[in-house]
Amino acid sequence: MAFDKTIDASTSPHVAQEVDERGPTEWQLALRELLKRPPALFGVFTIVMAILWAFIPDLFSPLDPLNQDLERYLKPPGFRDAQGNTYWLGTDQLGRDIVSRIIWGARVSLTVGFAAVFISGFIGITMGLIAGYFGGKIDAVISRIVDAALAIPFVLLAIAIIAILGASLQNIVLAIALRTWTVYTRVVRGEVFALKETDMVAGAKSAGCGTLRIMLIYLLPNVFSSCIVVATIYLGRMIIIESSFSFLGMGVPPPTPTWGGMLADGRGFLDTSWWLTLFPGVALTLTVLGVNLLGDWLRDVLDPRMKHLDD
Amino acid sequence: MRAFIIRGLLQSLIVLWLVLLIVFLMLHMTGDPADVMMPEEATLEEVAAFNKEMGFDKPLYVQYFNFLFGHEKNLGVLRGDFGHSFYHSVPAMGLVTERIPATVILAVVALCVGLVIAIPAGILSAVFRKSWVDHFSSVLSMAGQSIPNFWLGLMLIILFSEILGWLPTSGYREAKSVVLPALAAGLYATARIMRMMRSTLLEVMAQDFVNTARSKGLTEALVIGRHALKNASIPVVTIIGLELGGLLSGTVVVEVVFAWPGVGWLVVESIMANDYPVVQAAVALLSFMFVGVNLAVDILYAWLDPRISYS
Repeated sequence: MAFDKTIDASTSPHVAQEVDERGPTEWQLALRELLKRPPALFGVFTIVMAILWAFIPDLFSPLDPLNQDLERYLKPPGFRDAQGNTYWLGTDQLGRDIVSRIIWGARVSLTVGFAAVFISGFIGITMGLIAGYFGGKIDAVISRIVDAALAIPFVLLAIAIIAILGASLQNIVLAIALRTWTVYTRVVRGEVFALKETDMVAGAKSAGCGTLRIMLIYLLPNVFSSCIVVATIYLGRMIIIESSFSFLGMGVPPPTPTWGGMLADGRGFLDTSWWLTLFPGVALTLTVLGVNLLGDWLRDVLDPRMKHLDD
Repeated sequence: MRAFIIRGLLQSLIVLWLVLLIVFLMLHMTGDPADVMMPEEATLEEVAAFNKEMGFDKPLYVQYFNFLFGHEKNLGVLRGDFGHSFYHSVPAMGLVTERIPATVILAVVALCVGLVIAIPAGILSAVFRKSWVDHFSSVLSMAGQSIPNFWLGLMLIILFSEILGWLPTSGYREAKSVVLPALAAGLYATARIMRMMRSTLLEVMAQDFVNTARSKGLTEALVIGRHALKNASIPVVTIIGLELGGLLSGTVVVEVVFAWPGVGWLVVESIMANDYPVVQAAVALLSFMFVGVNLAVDILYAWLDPRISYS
């Protein structure tokens, strides 16, 4: 009788329901976790906002960011002109609307940030896979190059390189990526060292998998979460570096609005017109803060080794 | 230990050679150095004369040899001669060394300000986890990693110089003029040191020997002061050294904001004036300092931590 019951139970719809309840998918879990962490949620919100600004600024920007009019130069926040346009955050020294310039300025910051992260990630992960998997002399050479790149004062060198090659989007991204790939290489190399001793890789080898296949199918997915964490942490720094280049006049040239360039404009009017300096900086800081908060959360979720430290 | 130091020295020499190679190649990156250095309206004859005077008409390897070992007018960079400044007609290296003290003062003061805040805050937030001190320092450390230092500098000028009138916006002669630049430059280092202090102390406090010390009946203050802190100090000392290296070469933009007469500002000025011998000398010298500090940190680390083998 008891035996019958168990059989009954295993075939009843009740069991099917239990299978459904086995647990939510990883994505659902991640989303639940995210809702529990307001700072990370704030991070997601800011990044999504900044990305939207970067892609479709026309939709958000109330006025033309390039429209100059010296009759309304350096007007304080809330100024209304004769046509009834309101300049919520004031105007700059050429009478351009600061809200619109901030929204359009997201484009350069995010383009440089993401491009630098992708390029340096691609180079760095490739080098890390090679160094970690082959070890020996190849590893020694790559590690020495990494050490050397880390030992060079990078901001200074990047400034010099940009000054010589000319300030353009590509050159800025290149100058930044020249150094940051090393971070990925260090992380990936260390993890691959540990992974290649596992049964998984030994099994793949004995099943006749080629080197490239092992790297792409067995190693890469396993180092990917650490790389995402590194990428997020570095995205914020890349955005700050881009804005410092623009501030120094070595970024994307005017009239393209950039947050760093707007801060450079504001520098001449610190005593009279604080809004030129305050608002672009707030936009910049909030974006970087959002990225960092998301990075912190991702590190906790994806990189369990760091987890015990910060919870 | 001696072998360890010798190996470190050799590695540093390789890095420095690489830096000098980059500094040499900097001017050749566009293909034609005269392109970078001569004004656009220069005639072909002027460019030819300039190339002859600078030796740019010779093959690249001859130029590199002359760059390192000198030729008739120049001792070569290995003896510290980067040629004359185009703009000031004095040796470029002299201009740079004149500016070194200001950069060192700013870096050291910024680091001291950072340490005074970071070490106690880091210890307190590890000991009193989840207390208001911990929350406050985690906000501070998040802010420190998200606020761009040059924007912080501009905002400090607006608040303390323009509105309150307490501190000067720029200058170098008075002691109080270093306050704002040091705060702006030091925030990032403060955040990093504080995080490191907190996380290493937490890690150490979770180890067995700390429990042993507690179970012996030692007071919590003794456990932390005598056992935990000592063991947490090694990574913290390392990161302090690295931050000093970073500050020496990374305060470029803050120096520009406060017109602080350091090497960073000199580099930016020289780039604007196309004065490349000065740029080359400054990048090389700051790299030397950066590499030197890093080497010192490595040696200190090995000396502090008996577990590191020197072979």
